[in-house]
Amino acid sequence: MTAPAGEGIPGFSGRDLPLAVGSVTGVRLWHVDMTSAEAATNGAPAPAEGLLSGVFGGVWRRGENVATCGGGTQGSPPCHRDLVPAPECGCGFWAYWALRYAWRCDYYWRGEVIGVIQGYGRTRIGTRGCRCGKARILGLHVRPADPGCQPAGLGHHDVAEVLGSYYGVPCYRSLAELLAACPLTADYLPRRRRSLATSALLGPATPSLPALRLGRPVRRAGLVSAWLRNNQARRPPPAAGD
Amino acid sequence: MMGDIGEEITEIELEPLPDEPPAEAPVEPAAEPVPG
Repeated sequence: MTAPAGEGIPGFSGRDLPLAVGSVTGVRLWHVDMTSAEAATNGAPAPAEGLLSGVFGGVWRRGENVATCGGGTQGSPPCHRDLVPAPECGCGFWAYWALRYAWRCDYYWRGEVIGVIQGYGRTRIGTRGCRCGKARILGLHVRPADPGCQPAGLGHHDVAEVLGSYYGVPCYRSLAELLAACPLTADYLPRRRRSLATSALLGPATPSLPALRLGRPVRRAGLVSAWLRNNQARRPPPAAGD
Repeated sequence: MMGDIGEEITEIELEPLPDEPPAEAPVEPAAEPVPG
């Protein structure tokens, strides 16, 4: 069988996509290899592969990371390296345009580290995030452990120091600082949701009372009483004996 | 469960701009040799 004309020639292959200069920035979560991180603080050499791993186990290196496909979840063969991230597969580096979206997808997985990546190469762009063929970490934030389940071993300040040093990027004390220093790409979010790109909240804001309209006392009272009526209606009935 | 990048808008090849060179102090031009 003859290869199509142009196959194998950069810019002329059927696998080539429209080319644009630039990159995207998205937020995502990782797990820390705590054993290696502890060893690194005690002076042992850190593993060459990396200290952070993604939800499906890929280990992130310092500098540029190039995605490969390990095969589909249904046992399908790995995608060709020139096609990662492929449409019918989950391969590629995932990241999101808003912290809330990253958290919503990965909350069950409880990654200890949140960070911003620069994504480029072959890139699939969606309304909530992207999948990229190449990526590098720009900045990190280590989530403080819950007070009720402090891990034995390294504290989160120690982990932050080790990661910052290993990956050669700043490790910020708060999510707000991370997002201020490494702004997320907001161009692909629906216009009404663009403000999410700068929000350091992991979830939707706590419901609050509707905004009051000053100068309309009758309407204001109506709004507040309606809100109270709706919210009380949703509460479970008091338990017997209350 | 997989992640969710939402409704797919496009697929593109992105080529990042090269890093800007670090700011350096201006270098004095070397003195030209004076013909003897």
